[in-house]
Amino acid sequence: MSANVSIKKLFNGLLALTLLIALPASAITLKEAQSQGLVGEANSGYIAAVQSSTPELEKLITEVNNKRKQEYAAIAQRNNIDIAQVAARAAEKLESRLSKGEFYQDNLGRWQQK
Amino acid sequence: MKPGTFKQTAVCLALLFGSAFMAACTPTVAVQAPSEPITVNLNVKIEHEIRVKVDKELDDLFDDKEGIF
Repeated sequence: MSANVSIKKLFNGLLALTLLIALPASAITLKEAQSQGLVGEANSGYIAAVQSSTPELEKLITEVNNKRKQEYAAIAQRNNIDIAQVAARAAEKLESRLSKGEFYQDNLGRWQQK
Repeated sequence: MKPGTFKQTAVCLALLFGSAFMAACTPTVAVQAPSEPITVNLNVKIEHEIRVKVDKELDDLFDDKEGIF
């Protein structure tokens, strides 16, 4: 009986451990968040939460935007122009690349569904 | 003087005046154009080239870094 209980405990522990390891991998990706309408392409060339945000979503947004900023900065430097110009051009191009149903921000900052 | 010669002279004179008139007028039209528009065109061209280059780099970027675009 007690052996049975400890096996059960061990099993639960293993299950918890598996979940813990598996969780980071199951963190939402940009594509998933976009197709679910959670985040959209802001008119700034970066992403933003369309409505309510969660800590997980915030983490994704910050991560993606930081990486984008680095890439934009590199292009801006190579072409000797302002990073804002690169980001603005990126916003236009990204908007046109979205799939149907995904969100983008218009010039006035309103969310639009493609 | 034969009447034909007179006619010929008249035609020649008309042609002469005509070409002189054209020659006098054409340069006036051509000279008006230059200076400023050329500078503008140059600026547009350079901006366009940068834009094309940036567009290309952005497209490459979107393909390379699919996780963040």
